[in-house]
Amino acid sequence: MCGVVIAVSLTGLWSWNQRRQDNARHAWRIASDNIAESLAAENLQKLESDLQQAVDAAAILRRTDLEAQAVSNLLLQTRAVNNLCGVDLFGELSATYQPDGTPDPVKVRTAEQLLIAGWHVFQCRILAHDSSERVVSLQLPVEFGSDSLRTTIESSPLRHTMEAFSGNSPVFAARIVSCHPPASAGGEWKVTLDPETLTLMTSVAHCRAAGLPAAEDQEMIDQLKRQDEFVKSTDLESLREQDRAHRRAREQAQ
Amino acid sequence: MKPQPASFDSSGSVYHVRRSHPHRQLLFIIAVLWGQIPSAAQCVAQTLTVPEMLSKESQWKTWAAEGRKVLITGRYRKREDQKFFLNRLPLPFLAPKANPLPEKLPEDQPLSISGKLLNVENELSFEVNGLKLDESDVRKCVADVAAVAADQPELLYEIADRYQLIADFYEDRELLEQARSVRTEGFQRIRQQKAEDPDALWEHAETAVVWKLPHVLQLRSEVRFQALLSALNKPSAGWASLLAKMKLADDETGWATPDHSWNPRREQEYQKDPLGMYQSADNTLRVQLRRRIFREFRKRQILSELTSDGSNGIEIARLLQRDIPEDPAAVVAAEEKEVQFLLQRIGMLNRRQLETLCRVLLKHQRADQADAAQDQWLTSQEERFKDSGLDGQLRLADEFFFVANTWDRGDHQISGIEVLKAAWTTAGNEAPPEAEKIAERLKAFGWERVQNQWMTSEEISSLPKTDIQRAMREGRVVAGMTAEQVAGTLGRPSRVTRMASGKLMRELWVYDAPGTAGVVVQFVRSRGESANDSRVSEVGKVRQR
Repeated sequence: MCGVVIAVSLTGLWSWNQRRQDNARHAWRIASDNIAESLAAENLQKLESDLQQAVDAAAILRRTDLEAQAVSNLLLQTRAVNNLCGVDLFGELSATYQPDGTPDPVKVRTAEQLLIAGWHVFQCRILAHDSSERVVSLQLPVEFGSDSLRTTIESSPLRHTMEAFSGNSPVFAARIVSCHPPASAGGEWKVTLDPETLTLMTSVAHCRAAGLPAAEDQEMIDQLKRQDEFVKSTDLESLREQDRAHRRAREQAQ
Repeated sequence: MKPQPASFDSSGSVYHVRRSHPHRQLLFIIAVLWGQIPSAAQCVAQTLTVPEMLSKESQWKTWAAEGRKVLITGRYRKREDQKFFLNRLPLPFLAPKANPLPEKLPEDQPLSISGKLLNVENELSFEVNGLKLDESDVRKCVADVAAVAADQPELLYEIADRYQLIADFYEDRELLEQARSVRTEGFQRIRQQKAEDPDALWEHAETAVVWKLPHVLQLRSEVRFQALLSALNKPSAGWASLLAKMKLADDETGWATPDHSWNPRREQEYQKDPLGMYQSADNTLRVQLRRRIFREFRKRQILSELTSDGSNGIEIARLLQRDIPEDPAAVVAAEEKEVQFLLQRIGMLNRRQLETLCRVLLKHQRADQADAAQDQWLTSQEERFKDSGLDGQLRLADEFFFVANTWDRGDHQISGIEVLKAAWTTAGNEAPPEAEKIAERLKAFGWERVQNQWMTSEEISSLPKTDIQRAMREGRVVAGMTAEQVAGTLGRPSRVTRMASGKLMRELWVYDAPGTAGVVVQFVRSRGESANDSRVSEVGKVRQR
């Protein structure tokens, strides 16, 4: 009896899993069509939903291939554009300064809360960081009186991107994890980006939606093409996984 | 035809032959002449001077043997008993008793003595048959000179030569002076003869040296001066060669040195009798006179090059000023010729000609006329270019600026700027790139197109300080500028950095390449606005370049 029950259960489970995978395959196909339609219509809200379905289906199908990764990147990209931060990094940090030229700690905390609430899109040069081979700095030449801004992210994919596009300014989106004011006058704001939220922009429609001049700036259009090819040809997920492992190991060490 | 007999003329030396039988006549003539030769030698006395006698001393014995008759002319020296002697002839003369030598005969009395040589025991003497007192050589010379026709002054040189030989032989100072005087007379007569031929006169001056005339250098200089004076009355063709000779003559100095001491009194004297003045002048005055005549020559020579319309008057004036600065009136007159020529053609002048005209007018303190000429010239240029479109306007503006800059005419600078502004408007319709160039030129003059009108630097300075246009003119970037304005002011950036959030798009233009402004310009716009709506929010310095 028990054996019959186990057999029936296993058969039922297998049958359920098969159906689930069939549904997932069906959903992938459907989502692929919908993604193309939504992208063409630049309907990013619907696109996010379609992409989420495709990513879910890929997860059921255990797909980690480059095509699945590209869809995953596009989902993150769409999510970023649909959830851009409501405040501007430079404007918000500038607003923290008191008349004596030093940042108000209360305002800094408020600013940080506001800044981490959404994504920010950047197009800038990237420099290798001195302390780690995984960390890179964004070259953002803004100043706050005598203070400057240092924005970093521990991201092997971005490091690879930097190496792949040496001399160019890649376009990417990420969320801020932390903002630390300068310790003294003439110091640096230290802003850290979240590597899990990093996404290389590959779509003109997304960039335009983010307010970038993607339609009229040929340099940007060319850069987006190069980034699209890079995303479709590079196993960025493996790099992310390595970063995660590295972070876990570091946290355990601490 | 019958044969003719021969007949002789009165001299006995020329004959005529009558036509009879030619062969017989010829034989007859030869026979007669043959028979006559020895008797002629014995019968006709040979006339010899003392020097000739001396030159034939070796033949004296032969002549004595032949009994040859001789007529000797010479000068009495002394007597000894029945003998007397001639000056410089070592031969005693035996005076005939029937025709004795006059008493108290003065030494050097010219005598003509006829007779024959005797050889007695190898002692030679002269047996006198006839004796005649002659006139002195000085008197003969005077008579010979008097006999010379006026148109044959060269014969005087021959006479002088002849008597000089005698004077030299007898060391006769008086006769020597006479000979010299005759030669000088000959020189002066030839000088008169050639008075109208400057070249011949110049050449004749040299003969004074050849003949070693008294005061030879002075005389030569006078004749040369006379030649120059004579040349002044001739067409200019021969002047150049004569002037060249004058310049080459070492002792005719002074012609090249300007003489500012020449005064009206001297000039008056010179005009009256230039040659007389020269002849009576001392060396200093002669130098001045040579300069005076050179001036006249050179002036005529230079003025002969002056065109009838006066179009080369200024060049002529330059030559006059260079060669004869003592005559400023001639310089001014020549310049005035061309000034009048140019004034009559003012509209057709080019810039160089106008410059020339005004330079001369200003030199003579005729500034009003110079200004008027410039105005008139510009009016002509306006007429000339009025239908030539943009090119004509630009050219006209250039002409105004040329006059303004050359003669510091501010009024024409203003006119030129106005023409340039009009050209800018024309170019805006016809050739926009030209309009930019014209605007640049106007900017150099302190004019700029601001708020749709032309403003001077002062007017622009009075505009509000925040004015973006002003910042652009000054090469600055200020808040509120568009991307286009920034690019127009600083050019394209070295790189662009962008940061986008849900509300704002912030764009940073970085000018950090060598030679750029070294600034970071921040643009900001709302996410929904287009790139054209971006405005500069901040401008900062590049921290590390």
